[in-house]
Amino acid sequence: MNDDILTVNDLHTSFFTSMGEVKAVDGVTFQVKRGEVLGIVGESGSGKSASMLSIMGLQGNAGRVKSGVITFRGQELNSQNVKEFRGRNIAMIFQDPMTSLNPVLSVGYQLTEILRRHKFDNIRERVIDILERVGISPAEQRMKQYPHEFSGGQRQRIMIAMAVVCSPELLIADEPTTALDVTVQAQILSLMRDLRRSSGMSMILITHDLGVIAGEAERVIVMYGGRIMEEGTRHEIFYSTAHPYTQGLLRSVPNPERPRERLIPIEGQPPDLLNPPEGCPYVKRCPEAMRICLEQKPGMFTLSETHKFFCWLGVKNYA
Amino acid sequence: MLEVHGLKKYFGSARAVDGVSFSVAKGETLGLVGESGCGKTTTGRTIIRLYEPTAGKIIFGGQDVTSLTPGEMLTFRKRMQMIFQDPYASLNPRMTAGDIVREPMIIHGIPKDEHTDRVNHLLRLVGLNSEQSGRYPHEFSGGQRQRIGIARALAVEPEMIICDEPISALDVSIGAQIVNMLEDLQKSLGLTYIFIAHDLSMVRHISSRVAVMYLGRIVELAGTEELYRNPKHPYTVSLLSSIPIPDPEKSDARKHITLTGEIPGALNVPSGCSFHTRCPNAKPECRTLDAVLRDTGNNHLCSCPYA
Repeated sequence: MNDDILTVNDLHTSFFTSMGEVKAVDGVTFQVKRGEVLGIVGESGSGKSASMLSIMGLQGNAGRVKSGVITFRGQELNSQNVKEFRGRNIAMIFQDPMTSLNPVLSVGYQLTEILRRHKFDNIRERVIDILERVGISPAEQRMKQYPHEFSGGQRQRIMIAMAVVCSPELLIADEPTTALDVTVQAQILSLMRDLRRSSGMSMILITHDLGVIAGEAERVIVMYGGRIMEEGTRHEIFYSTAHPYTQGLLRSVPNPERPRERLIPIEGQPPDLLNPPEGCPYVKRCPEAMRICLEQKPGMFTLSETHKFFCWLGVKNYA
Repeated sequence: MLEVHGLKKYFGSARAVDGVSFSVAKGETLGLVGESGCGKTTTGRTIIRLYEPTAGKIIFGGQDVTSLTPGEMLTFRKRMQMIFQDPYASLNPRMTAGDIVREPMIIHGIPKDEHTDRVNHLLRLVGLNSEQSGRYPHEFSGGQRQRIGIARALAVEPEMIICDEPISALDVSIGAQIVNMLEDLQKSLGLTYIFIAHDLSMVRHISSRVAVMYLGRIVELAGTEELYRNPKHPYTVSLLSSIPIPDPEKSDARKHITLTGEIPGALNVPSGCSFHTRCPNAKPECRTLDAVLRDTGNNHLCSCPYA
């Protein structure tokens, strides 16, 4: 238990729109261990980003954490104390660096401000050091420049520098390479790997890219329609896939061994979060759906100490 | 079916497409890949004449379509259509799905009494139903909107479709539906595709041949499996080694060739071989040599003289 840096227990977050209540996160429980990389995969509307915003207390005015307990280093987080941890102990990077950087402040100023807010000393040295470490050099000159003077990949490096400059214990990276080209993506992933190894920080990596998950995550959570479908080690998720949704996702991308083979897509449309089904959110698209799946949300079925899934097939096949 | 010779498209001093030549045979899919700013989208848009080419020739079905009168342009566009990346921006939000699919029929003078039947037929062909023809784009999901865009492109029974990143804005499970549908339509209607994308695994899946672009030029062009198994240009090699593999053991086992830096812009294209600034094997001569595509055997074209 002391091994967990973050725990999330039965989190429910809703957004209230003119169309009604959107249950973006509908009962999510997971833990992040010290030093590990937890990958979260899911498509639009899966609740992966909404869960992270809830952890950070950034769900906004339209959003509300309805219930659930989040702890960080054993201490329960609330809307007040999360502000002390945010940016200092838990940091987040977003998909689009251009909208997350302030265009009218120099990069050096933006980094300095973070350190000053968290009362660090030797601020200038720290700024120069972190910029050099993320490959923005010569840092002394480049810190005077503004975001538009950098390329897309460099801006994402600067975002990473801002996130890790306070040496956080947990980094939440929400689609950090989705807006980047593949060769730049490879550079950024390798940079994040190096930073993690030298600092021992934990990371939650959110992505829709199964390839990135296979390469970077140690454990994986698969989400759909606001709920966790399956959780396991990287090997369990890819080689002993249990949930029909995870299986569908893996069959939707070309098999690297047999690239020409016809894809097997998941039929149907993404989940309608305004009118979610009574039972499993995946029921309308699931090729193995049974009557009970319509009526009742499935419980958790455990396949190993690390591998579990939420599906009625668990009762049928494993009980 | 299509031949492109020395095609150039400059925007001011930005050389977006800088001398591109290739051909596409009837019924095949040519994949066009490369990173942002490589000119793949501009190439597609110049071929369908959304842009005026700066230089070069486009021959389509034996006819030079580089300069056309407005009347000829109408006939040409009936034969070549395009589908776009963003299914949100490429459909008029004030038109119903049925009207969006009907519009090209009006433009191309298809008899009015056929319209409704054809609209219904096309909507069914792309996996929607005719009851949905009265709905507006916002009532559809992203994947369904892309289906409407495809139905619109098919409305005038084109021979060729330029698919510009048709699945990159879609979720994985929905993208696979669209790719399967494009493959089925190609078979049943005998369509020819240019498939422009940055998703290299999907391009491998759908294409018969692939051209790799870098800074406005094709650096390598070959049959798909030949290119992916035996890449010759150092850029292609590093590009392919950067594709994330959805398989943990294979992912761990592979070697990454991480390039330094990013693509210089089309405003300051390096001299000689334009890849020399990032190439892991660059030699001093690369700064001045003329990197032209040449056949290395087996119809495998590569612009690197050391490959």
